[in-house]
Amino acid sequence: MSNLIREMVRSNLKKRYQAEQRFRLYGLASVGFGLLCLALLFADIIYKGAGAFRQTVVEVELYFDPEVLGLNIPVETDQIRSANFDGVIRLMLRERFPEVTTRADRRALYGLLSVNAVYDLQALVMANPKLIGQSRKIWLLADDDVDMYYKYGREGEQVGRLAEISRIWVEQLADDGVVKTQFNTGFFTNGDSRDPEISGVKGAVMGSFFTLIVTFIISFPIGVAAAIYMEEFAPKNKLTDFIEVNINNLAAVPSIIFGLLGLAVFINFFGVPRSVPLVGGLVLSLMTLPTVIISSRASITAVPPSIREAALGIGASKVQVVLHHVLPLAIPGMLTGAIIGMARALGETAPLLMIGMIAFIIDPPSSVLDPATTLPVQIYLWADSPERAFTERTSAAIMVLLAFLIVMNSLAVWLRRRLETRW
Amino acid sequence: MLGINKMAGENRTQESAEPLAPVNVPGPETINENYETVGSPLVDNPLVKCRNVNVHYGEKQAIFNVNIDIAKNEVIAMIGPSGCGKSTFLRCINRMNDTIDICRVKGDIELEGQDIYNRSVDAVELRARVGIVFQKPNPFPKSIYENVAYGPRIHGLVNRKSDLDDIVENSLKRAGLWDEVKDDLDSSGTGLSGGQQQRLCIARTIAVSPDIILMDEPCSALDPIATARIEQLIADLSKNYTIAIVTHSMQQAARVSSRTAYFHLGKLIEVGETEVIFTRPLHSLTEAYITGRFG
Repeated sequence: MSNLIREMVRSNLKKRYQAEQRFRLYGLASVGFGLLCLALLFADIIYKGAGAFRQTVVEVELYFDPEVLGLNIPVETDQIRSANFDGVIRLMLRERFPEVTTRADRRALYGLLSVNAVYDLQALVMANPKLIGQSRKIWLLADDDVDMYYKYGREGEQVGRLAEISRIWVEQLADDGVVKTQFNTGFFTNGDSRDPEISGVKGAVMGSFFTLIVTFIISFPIGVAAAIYMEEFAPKNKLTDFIEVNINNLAAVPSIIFGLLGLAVFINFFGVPRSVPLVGGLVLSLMTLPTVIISSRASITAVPPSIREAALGIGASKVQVVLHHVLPLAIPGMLTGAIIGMARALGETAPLLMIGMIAFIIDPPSSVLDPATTLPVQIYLWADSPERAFTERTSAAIMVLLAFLIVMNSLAVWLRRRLETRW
Repeated sequence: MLGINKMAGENRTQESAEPLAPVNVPGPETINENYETVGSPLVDNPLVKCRNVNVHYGEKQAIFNVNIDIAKNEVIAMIGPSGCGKSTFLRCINRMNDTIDICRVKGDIELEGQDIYNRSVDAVELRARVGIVFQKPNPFPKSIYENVAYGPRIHGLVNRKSDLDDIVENSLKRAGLWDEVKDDLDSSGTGLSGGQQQRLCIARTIAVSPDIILMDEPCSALDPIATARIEQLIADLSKNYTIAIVTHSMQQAARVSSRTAYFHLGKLIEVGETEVIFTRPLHSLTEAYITGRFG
């Protein structure tokens, strides 16, 4: 190689390395930008929603006066259900703040504690009827406005609509040391509610769970069977080309169309009850099916043809080739594809609105035939509510949804690692 | 290897001193639609009898009017330049070409007098009788035991586990792999070396006791030592099995086979005793190929 050529190569080399460097920087910048957006999203959600995992409670000393409760001694269980626990709480509040006399102020005073506190008391006394006629110190749930004020308002942040007079009472109670925040277990064990302090995501989580179960049970076997047939058995002709194109098109159809289809077919024609996870799962499986088929076909194609030839060469029938050799090698990819499709289904809201899963449902579903809502719909519902406490819960529900997604994706990775055969 | 070098050398000497000129040497110009194979393509009491075999891939014809017999317990080598159709022809014998949509096979191929392309013949059953070993070792991604046991199991050849164990052991012994793998039959077949994998594939094929074993360039992905082992194995197997081997190595054909068939552009040019083919080929194309003028 002459010196001239060497010199030319060397000068070019520098340029080439620079181009390489630039290219690498572009890539790095893109990744960085992506991560930054993700970090911002997470920071915003966590900042807004973290508070929802703490809840304000107030300690009160209650005297379970049989007279106020309207109970006769000995007490019968049936009576406890209709007992006037509200009266007990009100009496206690009046005694604690004797200076409050006007009707309006009293109403504000009673509003310090959650209206749902009576149910806690009822449950407590039902479990332990001996409490009647006794005094007991109990932590009761504060009203959501009090909760907001106690968590954020005391540092001067402008939150909520708690009246000036109520704020003074809260401060007095806080000075007594009977107000605290504790972990909000109710958020995970309660269904939805009009009262933010007792609303939780259990209903939505269970709804999402049942819906996804139905989606998986329907879309995975059908999708895999369709993919196997299309890939291994179907003749290659115009009809199969047409079907293939249409499956790809189906994957791009806006999801609300599937919702309308579900409404027309499953609910109006087949008479499946509305708002239930069963119909939600049916609709979402229609939506997931193309994804499952496409990813399953991709993983079938990825099985080396030499394995098929080997099995055929030894005299395996077509079905044996598929069941004994192709499927075991393709199943990890199929599962991954299915779970990615399911993750998309988990985040889907629009088609569920069409089939009534947006209804306000208090009780968490216990089967696929109980009315339910799902996490994204719950987020939508809460985001739409005016109370400040619901804003906080919206972000918290988003965190739960993301955690759900992360669990599903980790499951996909784990399954793939576990089932993968190396060769 | 020495043998064939010597033969080829002799051939060249002969050529330079006194060009081969048998009576009916057809030149390349005679290779037309109606070309008839020279040499001795047919034998008495053939195991496989092929008559007027034509193969098309869509519009393109890959095999033209091939007539050849394969005798029992012989090793027949099929040689020829790349793309000459030797593998395609081999794959007709166990109907592996059925799996290719655009491939059409015409003509008669009979195995022990039975037309294998007849409707009454099941391809699955046929492939149990006509085993095949492929170019690239392709063991299943399962254990060594499962690889060998697969064939007998799907064909329902055994009822008891101990019988299956025997078949696996015998097949591996015949394939010359038993001593190397007997202690870890449960380890993956894909973890073996290339040569071992190919012997495993041979064991898998002979586990169902086929009448004939087709080998499609079985050594082309292997190193010389592994190749030598496979060739030795072919020699051993030829005592019990009929073997048709496609190879692009003339030395290999010379070493392992008793008869050799030379294919050229989809036509069967010449068939004869291996020794004759490599020393006194009848056809000028055969001679050109074995002396290395093209290939």
